[in-house]
Amino acid sequence: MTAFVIRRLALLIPILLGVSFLVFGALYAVPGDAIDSMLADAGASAAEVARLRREFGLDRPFLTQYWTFLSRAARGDFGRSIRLRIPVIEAIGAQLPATLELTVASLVVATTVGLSFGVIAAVRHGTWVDTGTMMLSLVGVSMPIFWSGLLLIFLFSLKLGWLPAAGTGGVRALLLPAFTLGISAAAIIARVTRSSLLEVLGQEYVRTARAKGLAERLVVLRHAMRNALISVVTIVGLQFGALLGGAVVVETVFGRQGIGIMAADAIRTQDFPMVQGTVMIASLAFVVVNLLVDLSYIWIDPRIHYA
Amino acid sequence: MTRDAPGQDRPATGKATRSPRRAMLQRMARHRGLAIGGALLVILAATAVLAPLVAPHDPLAIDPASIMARPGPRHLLGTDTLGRDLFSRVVYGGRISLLLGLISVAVSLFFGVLLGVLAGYFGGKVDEVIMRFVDVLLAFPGLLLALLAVFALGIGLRNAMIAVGISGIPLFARVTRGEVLSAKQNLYIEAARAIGAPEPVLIWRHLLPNIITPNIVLATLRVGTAIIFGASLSFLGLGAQAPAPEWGLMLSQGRGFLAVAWWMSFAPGLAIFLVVMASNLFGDGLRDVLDPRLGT
Repeated sequence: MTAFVIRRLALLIPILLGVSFLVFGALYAVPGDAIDSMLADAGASAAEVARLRREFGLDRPFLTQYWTFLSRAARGDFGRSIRLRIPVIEAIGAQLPATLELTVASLVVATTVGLSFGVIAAVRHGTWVDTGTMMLSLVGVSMPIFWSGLLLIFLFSLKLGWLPAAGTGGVRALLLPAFTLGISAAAIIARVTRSSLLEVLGQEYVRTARAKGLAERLVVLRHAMRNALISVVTIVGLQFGALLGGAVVVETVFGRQGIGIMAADAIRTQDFPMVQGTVMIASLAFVVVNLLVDLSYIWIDPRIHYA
Repeated sequence: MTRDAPGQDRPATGKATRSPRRAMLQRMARHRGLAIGGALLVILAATAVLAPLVAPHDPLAIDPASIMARPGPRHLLGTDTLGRDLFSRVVYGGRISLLLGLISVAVSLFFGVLLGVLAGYFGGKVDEVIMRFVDVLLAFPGLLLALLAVFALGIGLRNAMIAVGISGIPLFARVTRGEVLSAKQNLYIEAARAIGAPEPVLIWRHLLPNIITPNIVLATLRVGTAIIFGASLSFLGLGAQAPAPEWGLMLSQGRGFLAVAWWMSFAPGLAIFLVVMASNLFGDGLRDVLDPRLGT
């Protein structure tokens, strides 16, 4: 088990190296560079631009620049934000909790709603409940989150006045964004739960459990669900990525703080170091969550051994 | 091959046995989701193509006399802050969204299949390098890869299409590689190789036709996601720019006026929802009929 964890952690290194290379390479491909965007409004002379370019090492070869970026990034140093004029890691540190709060809350919404709907649809397979649940799920995956967010704001904030339309802080301000972000993930989790549970419910050992007179609730929850859980946990882990990406949009819709809205702002204002930092940190979070998902298989299914 | 109802494919008494192609077409016609999704898509595509005939107004025409007019007989879906007719803008916007869906999925499909075929067919080091690259692309969560690509390429609709396309490449590469690995084992590939067919011919004539079905299904399912990603980029101000009648952009223009002119956000959102739902229904149906293994 420990060996597996170490091997799995070691596998993260090439992935993160690749991510860092792409992030750095993508920004290298941008016409103009960080100095251009820094001095865009300053009206600096050509000599001044050349001096700054030398100072920041932008006149050096690509690989040398990449190596400098990488060795700093490994220490959490992404440089200073051009727009905010503070270290990128400091800005991320201040905003990350709000994004994590939103992502985790929406993951809770998505998992609770998705699992319940999926189980109900599978148990009532072939009835109108099943059809209705799957139609709801189709609606859920097809709704763009910026639209469902605006609909929820319109209904619950503007018409009913129950919840705030914008802002960060407190459970009330979190409810609408978490639901908005969680809807489509819930729909996908419901579909996966339904189909994997249906597959398991047809197996012999479930028939045995029923034959020995176990209550249907126990058969489903204790016997069938456990085996259906692997696919569900896998999809929940993958959805975490979709939620992190979706946070960019939801934070914009609800005017929340967070690294998503910071990343979008950084792209609009060509804040190179900030784009690098936010994208790297979000990808790191995603690969770590997927590692945790892999490890959770051992706990869910004791038959799985990682030698 | 597919999940048929019992007896569904039994030849009818007195009639000749149906050809597999005809049987499949009949299965497709009988699939309710596929039919509804397909019909909806045809209607939406026709509306977009025939936009000049369908739209009652010029989508860019400003009318100071009817600013933020409510939906009514004169303006079916109301007007925006510049008095532009929203119904006409939504109809013209269909052209952008459908084009975005098609172009970006074509980009994903082309490069994904290319990488997948190279990895699966040649194996070894080539496979190792390509698949590690695909793993790296998959490490970017959701929309973030498209955001990064937009940053590298520059803000704008055309680049947004390419960026969304790039974000879909790893999915197609993975599916294709798996299909190639299994198709490679078939005897007819061995036979083609034995009679000395050159590699490009072998891949093009014998391998590709056998891996294309799951890719078509995946492409159809991906159109909806691509349209949502593209609209999201425009919503964030990174895709289509004003005054283009792009649905995501229209929503972002309308969101500040939700309390006084809800219709500005309602109409374009509904349009995105309908197109995405139609392509999801169609894609799901196609998967059920053509390739149930991909299903959830």
